[in-house]
Amino acid sequence: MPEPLLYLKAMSAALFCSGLVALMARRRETSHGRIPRHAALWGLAAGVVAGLAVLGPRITWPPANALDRFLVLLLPAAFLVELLTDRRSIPRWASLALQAMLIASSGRILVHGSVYLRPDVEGGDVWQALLVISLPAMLLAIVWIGISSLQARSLGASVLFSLAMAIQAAGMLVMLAGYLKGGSTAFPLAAAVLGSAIASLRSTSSENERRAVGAAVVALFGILFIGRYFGRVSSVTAVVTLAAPLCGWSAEIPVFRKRGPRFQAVIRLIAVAGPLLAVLFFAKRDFDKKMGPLLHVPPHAQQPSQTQPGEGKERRNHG
Amino acid sequence: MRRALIPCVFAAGLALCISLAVSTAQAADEYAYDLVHSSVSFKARHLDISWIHGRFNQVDGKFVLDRQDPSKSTFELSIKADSVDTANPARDEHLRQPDYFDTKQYPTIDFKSTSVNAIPGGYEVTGDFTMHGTKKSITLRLMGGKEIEWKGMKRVGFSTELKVKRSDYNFDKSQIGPIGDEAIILIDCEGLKK
Repeated sequence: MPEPLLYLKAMSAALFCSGLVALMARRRETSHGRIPRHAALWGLAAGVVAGLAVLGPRITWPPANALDRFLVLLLPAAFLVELLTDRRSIPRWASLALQAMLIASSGRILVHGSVYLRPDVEGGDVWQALLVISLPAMLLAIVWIGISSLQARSLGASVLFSLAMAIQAAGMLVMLAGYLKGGSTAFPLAAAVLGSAIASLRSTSSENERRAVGAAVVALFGILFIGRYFGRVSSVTAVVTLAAPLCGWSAEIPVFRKRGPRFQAVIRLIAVAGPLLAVLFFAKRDFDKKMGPLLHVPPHAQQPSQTQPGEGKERRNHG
Repeated sequence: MRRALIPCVFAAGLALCISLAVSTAQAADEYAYDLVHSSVSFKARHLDISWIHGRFNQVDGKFVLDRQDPSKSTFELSIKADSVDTANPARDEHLRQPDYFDTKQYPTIDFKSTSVNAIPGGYEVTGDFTMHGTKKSITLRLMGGKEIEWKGMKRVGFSTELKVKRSDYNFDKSQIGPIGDEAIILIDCEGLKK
């Protein structure tokens, strides 16, 4: 059953730790006269660890399922890649190769040991398995490049805010589709991204947020992939939610650019919120239709005191 | 007289060897699981006040019965977890998800015998029971084993019941609450001789 209080505690822990560590890291970097580059990323990592520690998702080692593989392998790999890509000692081509390898292997990591890699069990074939691994990876690449490019053009934390919204929505969608544990894992992730975003509000450079944006995109992808291929999230819902942050590009049209960065930030958030609210609305409607009978008292199971003798029979005759 | 006796003894010995060989070959009979006349069902407590019943609709298996030497008998069963059916499509979809059976990660529930002993009324079968990625050794009391011939086909039937705890098989403990930890699985199977 859902545990709202626990989720709130986990989100609070993630938000607080993320913001605090991001601020401290940023202060440390600027005190040496450097432009902050990793503060938001460190904050995000700290927030994720703190939030998951409170949520207590019972991760197994070796990883037994897709959620374990996401939390233990894919997400840490994303943090590591983002941390390494910014080092001056690593050439640009090597950084891009690391990111490409992470993107290409993301699907394969998440479906390891599942029916998607066993065509004999599922009745599919090798091409189906390749499709499951390659198509989501291509979508991840498109979204990652699109969001990173957007972050590079814009100052401030509006891109991180929009990613926090998308991760939160992804978690709720996975829960509404019936996978409680997978969906609830997204809540501290979203809060950690939000904490980093708040700490980056007065940022004068987009470099600090860029590294955190990459890790946040992988977090969003992971939650949706698990919801789609192991839960019951539909393909359309998953793709719309993954691509929603790209709607932030609408704030880059010249009409909005003229109005200044704050106005652009507001437009960006509204543009991203639109599709997210739409998918949430339809998901809630489906949930009420399918799961409602399981959770609510059926109409005919009324209390005896609510009917008078003979009145029940009359009601039954009228159907 | 002796000359006539030797061929007779030889022929008798040969006949005995042949009959023994034939009876040994017929001692072990292989049966295929007859899905139409078998069922694998389960029940679990709901809120500790009632039972929720369900079944698995896709099951496969085989067993080899050696009535001369029951220890050589074998039993195998494979249940497709995706075929869970509780007469409520929404609940069935929910049960397939990672919070419960996680059918995309663990598509089958399997049993494979490792030792068999004859007991009054059936067999005591010990074997590996694998569910949700966890394998445990369990012992079943298979009651039945009576063979009949119906429309030219030989059939044999068994029944058994086992209790399993979801928490023993790595199910998510946070989802054990409204639905009880312990489930009772009832297997009634009929085998068709190959």
